[in-house]
Amino acid sequence: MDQAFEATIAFAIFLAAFSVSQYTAVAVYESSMDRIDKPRLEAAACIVASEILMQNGNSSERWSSWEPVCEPGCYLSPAPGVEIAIRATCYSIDPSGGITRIWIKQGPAMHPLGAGAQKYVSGIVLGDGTFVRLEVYASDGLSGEL
Amino acid sequence: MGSLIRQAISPQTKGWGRGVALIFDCMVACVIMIIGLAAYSSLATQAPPEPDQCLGDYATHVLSFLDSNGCLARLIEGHDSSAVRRAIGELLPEGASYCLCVYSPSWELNWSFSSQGFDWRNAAASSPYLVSCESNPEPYLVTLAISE
Amino acid sequence: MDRSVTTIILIASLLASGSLFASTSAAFWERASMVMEESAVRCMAFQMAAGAAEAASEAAQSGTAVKTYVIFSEEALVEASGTSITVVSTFKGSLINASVSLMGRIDIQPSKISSSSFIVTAYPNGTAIISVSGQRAEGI
Repeated sequence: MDQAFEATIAFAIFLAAFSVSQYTAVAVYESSMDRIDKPRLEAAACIVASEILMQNGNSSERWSSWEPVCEPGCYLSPAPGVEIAIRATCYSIDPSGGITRIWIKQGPAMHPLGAGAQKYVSGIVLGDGTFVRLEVYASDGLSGEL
Repeated sequence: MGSLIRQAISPQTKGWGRGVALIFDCMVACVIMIIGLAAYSSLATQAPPEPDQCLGDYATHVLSFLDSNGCLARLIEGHDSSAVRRAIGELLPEGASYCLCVYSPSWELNWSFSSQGFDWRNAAASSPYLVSCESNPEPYLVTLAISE
Repeated sequence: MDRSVTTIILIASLLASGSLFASTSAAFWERASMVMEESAVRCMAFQMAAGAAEAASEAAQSGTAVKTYVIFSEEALVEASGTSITVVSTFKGSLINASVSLMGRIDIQPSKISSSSFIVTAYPNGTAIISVSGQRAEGI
């Protein structure tokens, strides 16, 4: 076979192998960063939810007048690159076990589910017997709209 | 090994030079590497996500809310699974599945039901919750597991 | 051009590009591992702050003291005071630290502990203490 043809094939194989190795290296690096970042976002969501629960306690009046503030700097510092979304839903239960949604408060978007957002869910039974489900989503702001 | 494979799969290559033999060896090495990477990535993506610990705590809060005015006891006593399903389904976050188990005080399973899509591998369960019923002097032990 | 000269130039350029690639890759991975270590330490600080906030919230709800365990994969020094938590870790001989402050109503007692597993004890009045099992926190 022609040596030039052999050299061309060898160079093509080298390029392919080099591209695969570079692609793999970058993918490994990105997945490692994601794996490290995920617990940080989970922790940020947990901090925000815990502080909201501490702030409002089990008082139905405080929860009624409360409005979600989606600025992460209000809950933790420093918070570079952390975006949060909050949704709180209040339910009541009648003696037959029927559940009624009383109110829902959320911000900043109607659909706070970003692709890489981490979620923390908590619940609290209020003094008047109603129940509040609090969902906090934390995202690094790069994985889609919160 | 690559050379052996080459000879086995294409006898007409016997007349080719050393350069071509090396190229085939490289190709075999690349194929093995790509198959390995594909197998690893498919295994990594199929691994179930770890259970979210906060969901276990949330399940405990849900049980205490359902028990707050005796509803949970009445629903369990009446074996009214459709009412319990509706109540729990309303209280869970979007996309969550659940499994409710009711045990006797000696941890014998009385009855249980789970929603569609529930997976024990990534589920977080509540602490055992004691529910007292009027008709039964012994309390029930109830656990609620949630998976996403 | 003479065939031997061409071969020498080819081999030299191959060696030069190979060594350049190797050095660039080494620099990239050194920087990447540093960035990953910094992220890991920042993550530890967030996890410790989350443990304190979660325990304080549960204590406020239940009206009793609540203990939470925070476990890291490696040993780290945790300094806490007021609303601020700092985690310090060593990486290739250099110290990397990260801090997180909680803006809520939580008061963490001053402590400075080196371990990989910590206990956060929170009380209903909003105070929290970070300690290691079987060891008292040393006051700053």
